[in-house]
Amino acid sequence: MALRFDDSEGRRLPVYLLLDCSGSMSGSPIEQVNQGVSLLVGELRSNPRALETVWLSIITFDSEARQLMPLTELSQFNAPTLQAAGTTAMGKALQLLNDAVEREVVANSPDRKGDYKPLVFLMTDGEPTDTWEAAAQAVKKRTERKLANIIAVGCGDDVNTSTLKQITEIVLLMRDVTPQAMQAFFKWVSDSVQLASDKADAGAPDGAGVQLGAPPPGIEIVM
Amino acid sequence: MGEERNPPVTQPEPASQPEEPVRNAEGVSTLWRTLEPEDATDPVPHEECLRVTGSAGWALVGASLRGKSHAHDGTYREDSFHLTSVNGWHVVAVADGLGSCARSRVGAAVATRSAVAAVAGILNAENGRAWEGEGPPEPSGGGSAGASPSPLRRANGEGEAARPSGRDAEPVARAALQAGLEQALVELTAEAERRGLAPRDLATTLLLLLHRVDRGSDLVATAQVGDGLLAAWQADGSVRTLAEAAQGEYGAQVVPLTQNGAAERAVTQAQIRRMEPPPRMLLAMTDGVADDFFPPEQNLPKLLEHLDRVALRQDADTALLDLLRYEKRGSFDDRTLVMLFPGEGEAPAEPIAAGAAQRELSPPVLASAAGEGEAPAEPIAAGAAQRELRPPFPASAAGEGEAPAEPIAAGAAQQELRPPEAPCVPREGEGPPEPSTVEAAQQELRPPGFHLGAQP
Repeated sequence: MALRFDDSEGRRLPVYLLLDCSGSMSGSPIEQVNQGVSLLVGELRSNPRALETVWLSIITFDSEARQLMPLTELSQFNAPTLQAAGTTAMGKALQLLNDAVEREVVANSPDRKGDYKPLVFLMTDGEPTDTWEAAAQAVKKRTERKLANIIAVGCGDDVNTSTLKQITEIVLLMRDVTPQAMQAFFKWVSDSVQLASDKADAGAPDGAGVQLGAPPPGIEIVM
Repeated sequence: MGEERNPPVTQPEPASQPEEPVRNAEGVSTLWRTLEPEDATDPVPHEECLRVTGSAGWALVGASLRGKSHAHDGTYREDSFHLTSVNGWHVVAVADGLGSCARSRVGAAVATRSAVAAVAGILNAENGRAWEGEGPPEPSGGGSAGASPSPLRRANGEGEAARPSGRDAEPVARAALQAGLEQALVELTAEAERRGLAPRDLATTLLLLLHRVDRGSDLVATAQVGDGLLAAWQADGSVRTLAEAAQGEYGAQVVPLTQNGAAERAVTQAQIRRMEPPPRMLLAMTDGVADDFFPPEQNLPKLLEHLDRVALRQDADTALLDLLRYEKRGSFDDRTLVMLFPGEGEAPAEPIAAGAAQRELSPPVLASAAGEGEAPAEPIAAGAAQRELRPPFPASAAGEGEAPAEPIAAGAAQQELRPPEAPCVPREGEGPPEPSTVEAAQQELRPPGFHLGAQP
């Protein structure tokens, strides 16, 4: 008598992590990223809203870019162990992101409620070493068409925030890449994703933007 | 380049493995809590349901349920509904207070209550005028749950005859919808002012549906602000949406009643139609239900099948409430649904409506029920069938499914079942944003966090 639904019928909140795994990230930074991803997944799993809605993907870039984890539901997600080496093929990663969103995210249509707007977190500690402008433009166009919310965080002194500004309006800067700052950052990503999933099934007024958690200490907003 | 593989520094801990039992087979989390709100202001009952006996054999049944998300957080339900039957008209309002707005639960309650009162006012006044010089209206039994008691007229049959010819119901319906939307906005704004809040803090959607059996067809009038769904289950079994709600590419963008021009736009886009043959059911629901059956033309039938059975029951209201407790992954919003259906006569295919179901003090009046519908109704002892809140329904009796039940013409009499009416009140800001709603994407810097892309 009770109404039954298929597991696959729910709407998803896609979350993409674009992580810089170039050589300069090696050592403590990449370890911190690994821990951060674990922390993120663990925290999200303990929130029933996130657990039911969040799907996570990881795209990494060094000399190449690859989608290490396709968009995967949280309960099935095995966080990979990342290693750092090579250069910074951010352009390729952005291109991959574009393709992945195009392929994996279900848009609204008259026949179906699509996924919620994807959240993208891009983390890098350097300048792209490949051609990136075209891909960045395509990504930015996505945000302008409100098809995604993209947050870029630059780590350390070598990062060029004006490059990141060409990808998204929302740019954060982690000047000192300390374990504390890195952990705080992933905690913040977790909070922001949970905020989004809290809202996933409730209405918000037209014009309201996506809300992020307060940026943690050690991370500033680049205006 | 730098091929240095560094030894793990601190905790080498790789990644977490998925441990299973956090989701059940349907993908629903097992981690949901149910908490009572600590905030005692503007309390709203977590659930309520109501059955009202209408005219012409129709019945109105509504239920509203706090969503898992609010239960998990220990916050109040923000959906609201109101319904009444007046002078042959059936009036329904449902509203969904916006999650991100501090006192939206107050807004939803004020909007539905004031809209229904204003609509009923127009329908009363209009009928009163119509009767002048036409001889006294046919007295009929019944009272109204609505704010304005007035002689209840049969919507068809003899009641119809008493109606002055030439006075169309359409303009009356239009005026009533307009009055309902306008009054809701006025009262919502006044309520905000009283509290020293901005109207936005009470932001809510508002869906209105009016129905009347009129001159042999069914007049259905609808207006909608924000998301949710008004729909008809037509005689041929198909589902027809009765109002349009705008939608963005990803996720929904909600335009609340308090937004500039929203009420006016809804008035302009109000839809008034006659349906013939009569619809099997009319429905009003908030997005907490509607989204789970999108698109309605295709997926609502799955729900209708169940509603059809619920309609047969004497305890249709509590049965509806129970039905709304279904589990669906990613569905944790408040759920509200109101259904209107003919209990007898018209659609022969359609079995029947549940019996009366009035509550304890069924007004004695209603025994007058000479036959609310076309069909020689089984006149009924109103008194009979009612009573207990929830008669243990003999599954066989009304035939859970197929067998047409004994039509019981309930008289008028409506009664509020549940917590009559949620005096709603405020709550402190809550809600995070809707991931997809980024229209203007950004803007207000909310205190604790900040908004994407806000660029002062």
